[in-house]
Amino acid sequence: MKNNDDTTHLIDETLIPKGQPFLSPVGYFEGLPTIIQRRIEGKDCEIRNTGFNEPEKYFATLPDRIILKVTTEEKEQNPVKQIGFINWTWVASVAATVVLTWGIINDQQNTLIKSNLTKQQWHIDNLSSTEIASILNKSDISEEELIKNISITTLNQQIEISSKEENEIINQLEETDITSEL
Amino acid sequence: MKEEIDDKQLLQQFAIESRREQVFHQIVLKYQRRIYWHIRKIVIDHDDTDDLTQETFIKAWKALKDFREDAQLFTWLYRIATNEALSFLRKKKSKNTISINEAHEELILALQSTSFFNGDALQMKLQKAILTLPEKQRIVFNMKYFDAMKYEEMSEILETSVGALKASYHHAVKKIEVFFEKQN
Repeated sequence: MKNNDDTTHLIDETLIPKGQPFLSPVGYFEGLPTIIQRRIEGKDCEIRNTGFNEPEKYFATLPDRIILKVTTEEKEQNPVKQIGFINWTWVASVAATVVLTWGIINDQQNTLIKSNLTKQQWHIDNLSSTEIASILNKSDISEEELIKNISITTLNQQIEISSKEENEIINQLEETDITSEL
Repeated sequence: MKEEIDDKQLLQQFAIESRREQVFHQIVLKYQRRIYWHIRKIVIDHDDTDDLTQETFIKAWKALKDFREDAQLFTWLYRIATNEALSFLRKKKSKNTISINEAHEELILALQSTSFFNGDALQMKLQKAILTLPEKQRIVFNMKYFDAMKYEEMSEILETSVGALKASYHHAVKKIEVFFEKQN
């Protein structure tokens, strides 16, 4: 019995190879081997071209550059890592001990100095003026004299300058008198 | 045709300290283009891509001896590359304190100004359309459309379900179609 749904007579059988129910895009089989070849070789993974390209010989040099970086990094290993955690702990403990010891010693010295200063201050505060005078040595006295001498010299210089100015004024006045007479 | 060395063999040989450099060189040779182009489609600029590609392989070098082989080597590398690219874009955004739209504009500018683009006007238009997509959707579209990757592979790399990826790709295609319609 003939099937009423049979529509095969509507299709041009010359377009469809026997046994193949589907159509393929134009040129598909021509391009397929190249595409598959490229994929297998991993040379060009792009089935469709993005339009991007890369610099010349980029991929030729990339592996060497990467290898150089990874091997250089390994050789210049972080010195902190090289020394190791346990060793760093030991070093840190020793350093802490040294700092602490220095601090204690420093503190003791400061205390000693403070007590000496306190003693000296007490001693000074409790001296009479006669005792202070006797403590002042010759250099202290001569310093005082020096200061006195400097003051006198300065004063003399000032007097000299003043008298010079005075003379100049007198001279000017005399000239004025002469010219007025004339 | 040069026979490709099996990943398993490569990993076994990498375990031998004296052969490590040589084996890693082969790994880089095998995957450099795929990693590079994957990153390049995300960040656009060649110099940024170069840095990120190197970073990807450097991270791989450091972690390879502990690689447990619960994923394929390629999937693992791709995952590192994706994370590097996304981190880079995020850092760039936060460093310049720019919005998402401004970030997209910057990428479009990079696309227009790069000297490493030899596509035609239509390819340029498509790239601009792709740049309007959110980052992860862009990655999904690129991986499906340009790399013809299977959803199962993408799912491993992006750690997202196949269903979500299919939906993401579908939305991406729709958005690109709308972009083209607006442009026309």
